[in-house]
Amino acid sequence: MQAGIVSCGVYIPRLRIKREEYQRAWGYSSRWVEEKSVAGFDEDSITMSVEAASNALMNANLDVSEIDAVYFASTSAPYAEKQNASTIATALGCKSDTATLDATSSTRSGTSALLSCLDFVASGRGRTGLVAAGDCPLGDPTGTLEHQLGAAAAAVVVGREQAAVKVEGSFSIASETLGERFRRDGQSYVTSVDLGPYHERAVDQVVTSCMKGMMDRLHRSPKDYAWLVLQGLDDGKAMGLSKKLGFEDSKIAPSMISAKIGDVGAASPLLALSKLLESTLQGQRMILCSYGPGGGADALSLSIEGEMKTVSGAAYADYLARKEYIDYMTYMKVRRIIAKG
Amino acid sequence: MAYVSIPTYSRSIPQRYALIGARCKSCGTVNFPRGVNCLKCGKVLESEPVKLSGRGKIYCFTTVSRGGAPPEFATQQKFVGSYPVAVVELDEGPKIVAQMVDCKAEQLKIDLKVESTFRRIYEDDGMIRYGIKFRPARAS
Repeated sequence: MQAGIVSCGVYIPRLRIKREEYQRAWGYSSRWVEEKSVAGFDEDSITMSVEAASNALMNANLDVSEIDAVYFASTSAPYAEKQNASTIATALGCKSDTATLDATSSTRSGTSALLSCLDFVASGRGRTGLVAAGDCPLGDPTGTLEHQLGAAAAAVVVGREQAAVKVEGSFSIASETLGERFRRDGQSYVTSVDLGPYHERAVDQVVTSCMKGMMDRLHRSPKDYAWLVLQGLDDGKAMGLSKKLGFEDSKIAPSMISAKIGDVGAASPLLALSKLLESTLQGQRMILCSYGPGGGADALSLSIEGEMKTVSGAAYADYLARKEYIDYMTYMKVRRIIAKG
Repeated sequence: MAYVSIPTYSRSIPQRYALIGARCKSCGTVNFPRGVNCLKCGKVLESEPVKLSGRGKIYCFTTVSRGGAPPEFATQQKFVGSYPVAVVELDEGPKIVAQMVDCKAEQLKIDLKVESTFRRIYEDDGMIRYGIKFRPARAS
């Protein structure tokens, strides 16, 4: 049984902070992030996921009663214990016999949750599933990682017959790299040990073997693909790697999202995919690859076979345009960083 | 507002999270929140659940500033300043009180079209109390 993507939905919170605020506060900023989105005082990865999921259902013109599974992906779930996906299912008004799952602890949990949901539908365990990835990770305010961390959510409805995007195959890599982005149990802040070239080689090797593994499995080459989504690493590394693998810059450029919203963790692969699917054409193929620092990568080969609809006002560009700038002190308060011990 | 215990809050979760109301089987009126008797016909409420659209308009509004926030919203007021609160008349009829988000207080006016959004309301007993707030409706 085949499973694919029926619709997508996105959510970007309204607040933004510009690079200049970080320059003023700390004297440095991330090279790739001009401004980033910020979750409001009353927002978190659950509330943002509910918004994205509602948009995905609206775009598919689906009633929530048809959803058999809700899978949630995040590195910043509000509860470390007590399922988060079931809160999302309840907020959406899903039926009580909905299958739920939290995929956490990696920026690639967005694609991992998507792969699991595709299996859920393909196996016949359910007819239609929903994957919602929302993330608003926090870095140590005194560290260099913090500036790049943004906030957003994306959701994907997974189904069979109605699927506009077919999943042709996938490939995953499990790896073990120490010192890349991590957060120990009980810690609030994401951190990393800056090992420059050592980590760059690790990313290179994992992403290359993941994408090559997938293309080899399907007897494909980069020329078979119109688009590449490569998330979980900064824009510079992603551009460099895609070129090395044989993809022209024009294939990856439209899915680069971090310059305007920052690095949105586990939400980034599905958000970049959603943005791209709003404008790509039937008959084209794309690769969705996401890297999880320290622990591997997922790659999916997608073929666009039908039309994806986006209800007006709920497109990626609509959310990008809807914004309100805040200063660094307001940011510290809104994200409650100032009140952390 | 006073302390709402976890059991009390939990009983109304479908209403608070997903705007599930009760349609009276006798007269068809949508009751929200669900009470014992129908608000319109007064009969003991026998009802079927109905999911409200979340769309409505502002009936009246105010701003809550320093010293005015109930205890559960005092932290929010301290961290983000004054916040707007509105009585929203939903398309299905019921009126509910909720915070307005993603807008400036100056933008608010009576009859402004609004839509619901799922947000954190406050925290108590170490738990996050989620629920509904409203924002100006998206043009569509």
